[in-house]
Amino acid sequence: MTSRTTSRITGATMRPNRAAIALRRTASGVGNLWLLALVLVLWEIYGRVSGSLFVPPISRILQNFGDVWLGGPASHLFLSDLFWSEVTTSLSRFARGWGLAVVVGIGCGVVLGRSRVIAQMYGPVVRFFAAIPNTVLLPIAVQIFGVASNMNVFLIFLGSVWVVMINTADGVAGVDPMWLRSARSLRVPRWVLYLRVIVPAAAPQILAGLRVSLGIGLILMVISELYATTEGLGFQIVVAQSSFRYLDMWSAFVLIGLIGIVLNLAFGRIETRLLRWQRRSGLDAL
Amino acid sequence: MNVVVDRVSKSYGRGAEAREVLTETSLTVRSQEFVSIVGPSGCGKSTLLMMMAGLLRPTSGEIRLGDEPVTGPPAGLSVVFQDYSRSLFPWMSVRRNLTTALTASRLGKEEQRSRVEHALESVGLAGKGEMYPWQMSGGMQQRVAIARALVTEPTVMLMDEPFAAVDAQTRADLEDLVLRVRHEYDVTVAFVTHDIDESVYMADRIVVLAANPGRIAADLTVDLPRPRDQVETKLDARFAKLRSEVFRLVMRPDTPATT
Amino acid sequence: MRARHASPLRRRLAVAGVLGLGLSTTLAACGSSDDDAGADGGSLRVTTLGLCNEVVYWAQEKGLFADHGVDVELVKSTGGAAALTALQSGDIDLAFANPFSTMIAIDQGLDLKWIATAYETTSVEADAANAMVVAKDAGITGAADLNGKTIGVNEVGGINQIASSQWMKLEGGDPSTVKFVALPFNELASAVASGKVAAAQVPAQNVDPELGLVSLGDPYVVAGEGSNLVFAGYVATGKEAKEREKDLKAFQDALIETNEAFNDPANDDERFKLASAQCKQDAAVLKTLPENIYEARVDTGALERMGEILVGQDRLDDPPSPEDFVPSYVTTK
Repeated sequence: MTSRTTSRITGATMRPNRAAIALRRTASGVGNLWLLALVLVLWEIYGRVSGSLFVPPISRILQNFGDVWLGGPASHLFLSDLFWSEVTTSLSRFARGWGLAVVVGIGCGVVLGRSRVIAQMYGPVVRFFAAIPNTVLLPIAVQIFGVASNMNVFLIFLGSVWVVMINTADGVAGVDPMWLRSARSLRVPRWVLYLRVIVPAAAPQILAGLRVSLGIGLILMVISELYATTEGLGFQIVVAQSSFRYLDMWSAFVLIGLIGIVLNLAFGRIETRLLRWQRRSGLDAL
Repeated sequence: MNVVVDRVSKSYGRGAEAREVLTETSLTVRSQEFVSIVGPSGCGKSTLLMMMAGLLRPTSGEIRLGDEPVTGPPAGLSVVFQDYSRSLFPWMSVRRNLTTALTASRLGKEEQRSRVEHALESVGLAGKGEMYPWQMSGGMQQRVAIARALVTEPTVMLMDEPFAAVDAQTRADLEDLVLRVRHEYDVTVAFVTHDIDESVYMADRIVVLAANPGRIAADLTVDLPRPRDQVETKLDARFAKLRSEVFRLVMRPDTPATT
Repeated sequence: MRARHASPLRRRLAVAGVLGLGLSTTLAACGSSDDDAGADGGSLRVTTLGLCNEVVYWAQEKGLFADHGVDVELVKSTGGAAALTALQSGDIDLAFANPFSTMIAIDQGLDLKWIATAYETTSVEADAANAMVVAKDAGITGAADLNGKTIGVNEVGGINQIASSQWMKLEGGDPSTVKFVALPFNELASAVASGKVAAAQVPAQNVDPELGLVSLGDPYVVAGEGSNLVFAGYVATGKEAKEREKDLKAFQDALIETNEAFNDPANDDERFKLASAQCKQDAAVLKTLPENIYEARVDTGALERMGEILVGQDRLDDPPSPEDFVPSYVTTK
């Protein structure tokens, strides 16, 4: 132990920056995780002591998780058939709904952000729709789309599009006028102005909106499947719940949580990469 | 190509609140000429340059590039702004920044590539095309901005206090760089600065503006030999004389000329 | 910089949102587990679904619970499964639930006792209160035509799905080929009419010829195979069933008395008036609707047959015996 610590310190003196960064990262990682660990430990204790069927100990949930969602052959990445059928169904709905929300949200957001007149005309409409709780739209969506994946796609879309749109509009309206002036003096064509200047310049806020919408879309993916559907993760939860299989229900939640974490991590990677310029110039300015 | 400023004035605001920043001003920057524009703060020198760039509209009067009236940013005219971090696009690589400047001129891929390489080479950034502005020092970023202005092979280049944000050493390098590329690209230059030494060192002619409202106070010819040299030129007696002349015009406009 | 700093928080929020979703569905279960489950004497919290014809409203209105010495407090719940969950957390004392869900829950390890029945389903098609409805021109004439199709029910895995499956099986269809989809009761008929689902199990009054709907029969009549089935009733935890025997017995006795009043046509006007006030529907309309059979005494034979139905559908292996989950003090028939 001691020798290792020493060598670490030596390493730190040799490359102080990297070591310091690594140390800080580990520390903040631990800082993020200890709360989770505490919650899990308390959960385990509560589950064991109470003997409640509704809140089983986390260890049993994880064991059940392995039984239900894992255990497939290597060719299936060790994931079960149920995983492949339900997760792909749900995620494909999510991808279609959220993808559409991103395209439409950014498109309309740019228009709203560029035109004061349009923003004044449609701003209240956007904010009105954004304020409607999406679960209220569930029966309407079923009326329009019936018992089909399009219903789920529509709800995911409708739930995530507004936050993308509003963030994009704010971001676009707030683009540094110096960049716009610079682009104007370069006499760039309109499409270059929008695709290579305005959208990238507004990217920090657009991406912030996308990240929020990612969470909303994921939750709506599950909620929309609690009802008027015959497959998907949400459906599995309903079935487990109505047959009092609480372990199955909790492992489905664990799976959804993991999917959320993976999607968020992937998004974070992309975001960091796309916004390198912003971070560096920010540091430079300090 | 001449840039003609013909009885141009510029006011901000309307009616009683209108504030005139530039009163009826006329000026011609002749083809191939290097004109420095200096003046105290608030004399409208940047406003004048932005109007020449077609980025601001005069309240009255007309600006012409050759015979064509300037109503928007004209082809064949490039601008180098003071704040490189807000005029370069930091999300694009250096090369992409330069090709973006070329999108308006509809050149073939090969022509674009060679122009970009040439411009980068001219400003001493050969091989740095894949870097991003945020990976570079301020001086290097302003070189990129100059390369971006040159890559379109403009006839006129307008520079708005381009070296205000860099240190003295870099500034001297950049000054000489601009003097060099000016010949290489055969470009007419209008150069706004608040640095009196710089205005003398760089220019063929100095236009001194007075403030409140902005107007031309003097138009001086710089008869210093070229090529200029940071040491030799500045030792020249004529440099000192011009320098104090401009200094007096800018800093003590009410004192009569002593010579 | 701003977005960068905000992102870890957002990430946590997103995860918290998903977990919150999980927690909210079992929120009731996280409450106190047994501190409210007192002995005889306190008020009995009973769930209702707010249906027009729940007998507990009459019993409460007429003071029949008080007459029997039990203080009843009615609590709205969203469904049988939710009520059984709330029961477990001690938030309520009696859950209005169906026997299928109750037996499945018992099979999953919950300790539940059947205290009183509320309704039975009829064994006579003429009195049918439920219907498997299809569109008239869809060319579906029997259970076999529904193979591979989608059937709407009010709740996935609920009593109506189980009854529908049983109906299909007995009528020559194959329920394993069918997809069941959950839709609210009031949307089921229109979903069939518009072709969104091939069939749906609905209350008999929803078989609306004007929408072009026809009934293939009452699944409960078929599933009962000549006998009544238990449709809904009141469920307590094993612990409560033991500790509050007097209250629970009094509750059932009050219901038995209520049903006598309910089944007397002389009371029809009054009871439909009360139902009308309860669920905001026209009393004259309510009067014309088919009803389930009001019966508070527990038909253990029917419960036993229903256990067999669950076994036949592979929903459980070893059904709980009525001897075990109907307490001995409960009046049976």
